[in-house]
Amino acid sequence: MTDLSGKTILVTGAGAGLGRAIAVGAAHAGAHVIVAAPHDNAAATVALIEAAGGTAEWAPCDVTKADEVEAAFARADVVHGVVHNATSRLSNVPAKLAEIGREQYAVHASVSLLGARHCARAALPRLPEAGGRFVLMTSPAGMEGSLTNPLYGVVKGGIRGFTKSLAREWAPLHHTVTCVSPLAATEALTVAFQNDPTMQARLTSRVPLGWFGDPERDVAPPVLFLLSDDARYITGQTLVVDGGRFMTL
Amino acid sequence: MRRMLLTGRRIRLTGDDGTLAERLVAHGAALDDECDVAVHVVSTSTAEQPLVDTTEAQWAERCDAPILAAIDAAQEAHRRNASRLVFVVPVLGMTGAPGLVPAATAAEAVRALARVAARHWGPEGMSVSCVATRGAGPITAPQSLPDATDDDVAGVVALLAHELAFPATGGTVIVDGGVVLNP
Repeated sequence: MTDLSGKTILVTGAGAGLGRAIAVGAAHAGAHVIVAAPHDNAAATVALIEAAGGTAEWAPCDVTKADEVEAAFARADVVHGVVHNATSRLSNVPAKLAEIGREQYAVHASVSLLGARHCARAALPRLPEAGGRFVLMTSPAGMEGSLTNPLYGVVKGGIRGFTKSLAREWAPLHHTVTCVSPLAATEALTVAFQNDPTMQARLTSRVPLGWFGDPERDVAPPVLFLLSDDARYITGQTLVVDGGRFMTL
Repeated sequence: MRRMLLTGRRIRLTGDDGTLAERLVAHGAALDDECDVAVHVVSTSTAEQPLVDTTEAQWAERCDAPILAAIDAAQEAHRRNASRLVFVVPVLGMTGAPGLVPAATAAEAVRALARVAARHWGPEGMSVSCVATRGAGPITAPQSLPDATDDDVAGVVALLAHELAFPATGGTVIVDGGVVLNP
């Protein structure tokens, strides 16, 4: 199991879903976790962690606002690792490419891209001299293109360019920057399966391992590895955690 | 004597500074807003600056603006019933480039847009490709060929604008002298 003892890890979008699973997993691995999220479901994430004997704190934080991101990071002198997992409220809202406009773009990009910029700026002065970890969550939509949510695919693709360039920029400082593309059975997906009973079998048939990743058991552990000292020689890469669905890198 | 690959093809060209236009015309294309093919050149900033020093205004100019221009070009191509859409992007999004995080983010976002557009509009008869070219950014390996010239880039765009290239959709052809050789 990954050891994050003595480290402080900040996770954005950790109020629910995959972000919560990563936060809970990081705490279980020994880290103190800053749960950076705008809504009070973050308190439930903190409660889960504390009930399991870990330590965490909620930093109310809208990642589109630089001052709120700065305040979240300021809760610790040293932040050893960051996971930028937050996505916009439109991430699960279907849209047509021909009809998308400036307003929708701003909603998606301000969280995924501008939010990444805010997190990087706030993190850099607080990453440890020995080398910190900065992990960004992309998506199969960014790797393969999304048929249902075009702007989600666009900004998640952009995250990969961000990752590779920041990895080169921070490499002389020994900070690593990596990206994870997960296929996870999130709450949103569960709802979609309930709404369309044939959807689960249809989508699962495209995953060689035969199931959608469990956020805690399948997706969080590789993210925790990338946050650990053992991952110090991995930077600029996208780790695809999807049961073998996408193999064409 | 160069073959006129694009004789009879009408191309809507956006984002170009004139470099590509004259070469596509030399390949026989007619530049026309009522088009068979749309080509959009993604222009990104080459101003190197550490990410932590970029202002939000610079981020908007160097990251958001090129992405929005590409979305506009794609939507216009769709409205005009183009059967082919080609984006010309800097390869730095694929390689990463220190000091150019906003530009590299934009470049990769546009390549993702190409995949999205390929999926969305393929059933309506449009195919989409990218041409990635050298520009600012690191050389990560010895070149296999000399640097690509403007003529070289235009030639590959012309190939992709040809009707026989229609089935190639969603992908990227790298024209950089063989520096980036993706697995």
